[in-house]
Amino acid sequence: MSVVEAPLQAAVYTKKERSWLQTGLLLARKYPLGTFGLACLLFVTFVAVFAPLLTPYSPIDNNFSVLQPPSAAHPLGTDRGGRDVLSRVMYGGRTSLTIGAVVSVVGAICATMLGMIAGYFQRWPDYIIQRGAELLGMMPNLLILFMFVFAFGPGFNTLVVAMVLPNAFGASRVIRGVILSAKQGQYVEAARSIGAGHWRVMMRHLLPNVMDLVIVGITIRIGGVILAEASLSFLGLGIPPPEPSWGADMGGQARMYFRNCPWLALAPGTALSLTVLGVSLFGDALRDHLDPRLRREGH
Amino acid sequence: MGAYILRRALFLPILLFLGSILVFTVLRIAPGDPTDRVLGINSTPAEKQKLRDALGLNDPLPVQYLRWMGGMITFRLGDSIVSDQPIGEQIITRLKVTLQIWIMSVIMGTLFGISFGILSAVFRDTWLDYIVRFMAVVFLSVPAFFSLTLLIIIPSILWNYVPPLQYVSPFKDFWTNMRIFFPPVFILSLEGSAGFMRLTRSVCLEVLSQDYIRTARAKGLREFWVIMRHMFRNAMIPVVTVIGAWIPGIIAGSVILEQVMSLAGMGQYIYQGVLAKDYPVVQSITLYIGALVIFANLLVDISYAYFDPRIRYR
Repeated sequence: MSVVEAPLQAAVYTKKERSWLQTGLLLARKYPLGTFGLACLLFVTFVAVFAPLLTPYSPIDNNFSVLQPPSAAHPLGTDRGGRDVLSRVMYGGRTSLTIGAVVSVVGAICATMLGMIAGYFQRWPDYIIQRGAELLGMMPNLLILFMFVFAFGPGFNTLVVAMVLPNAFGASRVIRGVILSAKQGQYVEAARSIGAGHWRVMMRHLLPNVMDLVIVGITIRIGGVILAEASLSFLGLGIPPPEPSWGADMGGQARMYFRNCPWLALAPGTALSLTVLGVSLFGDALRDHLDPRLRREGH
Repeated sequence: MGAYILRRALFLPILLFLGSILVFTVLRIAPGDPTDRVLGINSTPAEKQKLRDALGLNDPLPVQYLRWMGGMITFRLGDSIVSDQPIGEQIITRLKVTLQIWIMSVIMGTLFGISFGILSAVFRDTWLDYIVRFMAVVFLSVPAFFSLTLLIIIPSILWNYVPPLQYVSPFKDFWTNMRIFFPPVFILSLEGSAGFMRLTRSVCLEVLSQDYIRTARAKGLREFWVIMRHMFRNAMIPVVTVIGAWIPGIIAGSVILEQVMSLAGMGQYIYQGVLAKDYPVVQSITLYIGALVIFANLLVDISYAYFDPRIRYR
């Protein structure tokens, strides 16, 4: 007996010994690109959150020092309203990250609910949700955004609703698939037989099956959501003007000055690209770590 | 096979109907009177009423819907309420620009995606693979409006170069046309091909680990032919389906492209329609584009089923 137990105990012991820091370092060595992505993301979040402490300028108030080239006082120059470009880029991160986080988290919650309802109850709820997913999947997302902006006017809430809808229905398909097979498990039957209701079975017994999928889904979608907000703001249909937004700063009136003041385009564009790059690298690593099955999705 | 196509084709009108209802309701719940936009705020209620009558806005909603549907089918779409120009005429002149962008993007994007994907799978874990994969992530992260803006400002700062401003038909003057269209579409399709390339790579890697590839190599076939005959054909089946999923991306890309390069295409038309609250333009073009995507997806699905006999038709 003791001979058999010894190596088992040893194995358990070494596993416990690893601190969270060591685990983190191990993961960082395994996914160098993902670590780089996470670092980018943390940096952008830090700058966006502490923007008021990091810069003395207001991102919105106009003054007379218009279109100045980069200097010591304004490292990235000023725009046509005399506003410090670096400050606008820092505050712009708030817009992008908030939209990205809100849409993907709300979208993931809706997708999970839809997917679980469709997979668990099947029959007509499944039919309706599936057809809804098909319909929204056929519409180019930009056109859905256009329609909602047409109907409700540009703004934060319009953007969130118009992006959550197709995201939620689209992502619900994967979750539905997992639930369909998970509900065949004996533990579901056991839970039902001792009197657990549908809600309890879904929340306590089925939800853990899809949790990894949901987390991966959130991260791989953030990049696309940030890009969509930026594209729409670029067209002047997203976040309304005085508010700093990386996309809006590259569209509209500002475009007339790009040839002579290229920093106006380079600063927000680079910030946007780096943020999305960081999110997608981190999302890829997270997906590989949590759910290698998803690799084939291609994107 | 026949039954599968028939079932898909029968489902098509239902999807189109649901899509049209969606477009119609979303655009009708817009607050504000469309006539305010045309007549200005100082117009009298009587004038408004007259215009509403002329536009048919006083009829019950089902009547308005049916009239719109009739127009969509017979291509009598009425006039834009902002510019008074017939929408049908505008679509025909603008479609030339947009179709060229779409066709060029599909061809170039497929070409880039598949060739880079195969290269990176065949030279797996070499520097070539790393470069291609890294470029794919970069392309997915840089928004089209940023790269296209750079495409305009960099040559203009360095060489004082500006692309031709006036649209020229490719059949009239091919080179001038290409000077307008080739650079931006090249950038757009490079970015669009990134997802494609990743999928091609992973499918090719999967095919390369199959037994028949080992057999082909074992019987002494040259690596080039192993790849062309045995890997390429099998890898293409799943890749083809993604073309369908990619079409919405191309449409969104062409809206941005037309806006940045100031080309008068369909994307610009619908965008200006949204800005000006021109609901006849927005509802008609949205539905036409939706229908186009639905048809394209059907074609892709059918070709998929046709090319791969292993697929079970649901």
